[in-house]
Amino acid sequence: MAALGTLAFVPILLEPLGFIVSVGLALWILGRLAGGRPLPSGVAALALTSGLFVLFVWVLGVPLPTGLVVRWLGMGG
Amino acid sequence: MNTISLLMDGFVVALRPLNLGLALGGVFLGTLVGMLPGIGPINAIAILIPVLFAAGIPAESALILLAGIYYGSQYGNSISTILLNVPGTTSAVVTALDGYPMAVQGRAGQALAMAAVASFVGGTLAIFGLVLLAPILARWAIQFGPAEYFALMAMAFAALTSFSGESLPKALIATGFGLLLASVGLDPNSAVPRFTFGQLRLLDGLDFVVVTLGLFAVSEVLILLERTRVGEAAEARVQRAFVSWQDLIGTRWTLLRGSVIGFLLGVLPGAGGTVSTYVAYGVEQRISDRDGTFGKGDLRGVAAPEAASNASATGALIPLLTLGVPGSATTAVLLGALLGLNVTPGPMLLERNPDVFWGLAASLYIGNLFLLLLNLPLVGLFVRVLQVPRWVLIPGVAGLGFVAVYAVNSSAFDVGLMIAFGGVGYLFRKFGIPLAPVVLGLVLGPLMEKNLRRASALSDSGWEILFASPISIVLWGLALLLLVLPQLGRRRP
Repeated sequence: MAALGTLAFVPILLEPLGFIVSVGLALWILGRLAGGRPLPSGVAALALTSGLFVLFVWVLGVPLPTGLVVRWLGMGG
Repeated sequence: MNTISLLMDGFVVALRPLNLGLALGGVFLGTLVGMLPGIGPINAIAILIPVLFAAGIPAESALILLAGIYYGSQYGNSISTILLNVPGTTSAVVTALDGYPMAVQGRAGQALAMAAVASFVGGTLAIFGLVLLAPILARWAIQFGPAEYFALMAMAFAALTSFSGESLPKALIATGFGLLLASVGLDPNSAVPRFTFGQLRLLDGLDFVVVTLGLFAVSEVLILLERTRVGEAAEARVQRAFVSWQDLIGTRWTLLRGSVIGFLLGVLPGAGGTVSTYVAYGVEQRISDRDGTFGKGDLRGVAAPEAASNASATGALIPLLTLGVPGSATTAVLLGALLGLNVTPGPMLLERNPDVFWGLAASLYIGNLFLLLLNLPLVGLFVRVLQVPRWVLIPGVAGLGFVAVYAVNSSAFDVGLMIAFGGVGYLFRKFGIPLAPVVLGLVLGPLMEKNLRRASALSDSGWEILFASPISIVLWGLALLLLVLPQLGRRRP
C-alpha cells in the first residue's frame, strides 16, 4: 500500500517538479521499500532516472517534463 | 513466386545491418527480461512500443526486434527456472521439475546448455512450420467475412478463457473487463462518447500500452515488494555451459517430439506455451521414463518442455500474422504494436507487406542462431545479472514504466491511469483473476466491434448473419466446445 501511495504521487508531481525529481524520489522510496539502504538506493534511483532521461530526451527526442531543477541548470531539452 | 524465393527475399530484408543488429539486440534483451523477475516479454514489448515510435524504425525492423524479445524471453525464463527454481511464467514451471534438481546436483551448466539447444531446435523446426503453414492458412482465411472474423475472435476468447486459469467465472470476468475497457472512448459509428466520465482525455479510448504496463508492470512491482523470500541460486558458479554430442544424440527424438507438440499446440489460439510444455513433458515421461528418473534431474525432462515452449512461441505467431487474431497476452501486445506501426496482420499481410512477413520469418532463423551462439558462452554473465539486488531491480521496472507511458502521449494523466490499473492488476492477481484475457479483450475489442458492425450492416441489422456460413458455424461450435469441455473434464475425478 505504501508503494501504491508513493506511485500515485508521481503523476501529480511529474509536471511541476519535473521527471528527474519526481520519478527519482519515487524510485528512491521504492528502493528503500525493497530493502535497500538509503544511500545506495538513492544513487541507484538517481542513476536510473537520469539514464532514462538522457536516453529519451537526448537520444530518442521524446520530451519529458524537465521541471524547475533542470531548467535552472539550463540543460532542458 | 514460390515459398523459397519469397523466403530468400526475406533473408535480404533480415540481413540488412540494422535488422541483424535488432535481431541480436532483441534476443539478448529478451533473454534478460525473460530471466529477471518483474519485466517479462509483455512489459518489455509494451515499454518498447513508444520507444520504437520515437526512433522512427520501419515496421519490419520493429517486428524483428519485438519478436526477438518474444522468443528470447522464452529461453531467459529457463535460466532463472533452472538456477533459482523460480519460473518467471507458467510456461517454465515444467522445466523446473528436472532443471532445478540438475542444478542442485551441480549439473546447472548441462541443464542450461540443453535448454539453449532445445530452444534452438524447437524454434528452428517451428519456423519451417510457420513458413509452410502460414501461406496456406492465409489463403483459406481470405474467404473470411466480418461474421467469420467475429466468430473466430469469439473462439480465441473461449480458448484463452478456458486455458488461462482454474476458474471459468474468473476468466470470464477478466474477458468482460477487457472488452469493457476496449469500449471506452468515442463510438466509432455514432461518435457518442462511452464511459469517458466527462474526461476529454478518454475520448480517444484507453491506450493499451498504458493499461498493459499498469496491469503487468506496476502490479508486478507491488507483488515483488510484498515477497520477501527470493530464490537462492543453486549453483551460482556456472562458468561454462555445454552438452556433449552423446547427450544431443540421446535426446534427438525427445527434441523432435517436444518441438512437434509445441508447434501444433502453439498454433491453436489460447493453448500456447503452458499447455504445450505440460503435454510435451507428459508424453516424454510416458515414452522414455523407464528408470523413473524424471523429476530427479533427467536431461530429457528439460529438453522436452524447452523445445515445446519455443516451438509453441513460434507457432503462436501463425494465427497472429495470418488471421490477425492473437491467442495469448504476449501475442496480443504484439498485435497492438503492429497496429500502431500501421501493419494490419491478417490474410492480406502476406500480399501487402511481404517484407514484414518474410523478413520476420528469415530473421527468426537468424535470431534463433544468435540465441544459441549468445547463450552458451554468456551463461556466466547472465548468472551475475540474476544477482541484481531487488532495490535496483524494482525501481528499475517502475522507472521504465513511467517513462514509457509518459512517452506515449506526453501526458501525466496517462501515468496516473497506469498507476490506477496497477492497483486493479494487483487486486486481480490477489483474487486469482487471470490478466491475459484482459489484454486480449482490450486489443481485440475494437476489431471485434468493427466486424460485428460490418456484419450487421451487411444484413440490415440482423443477427442471423453471424451464423449464416458453414465456417462461422464451425467456429462457434469450436468456441462452445472449448468453453464447455474443460469444465466437464474437471468435474470428473
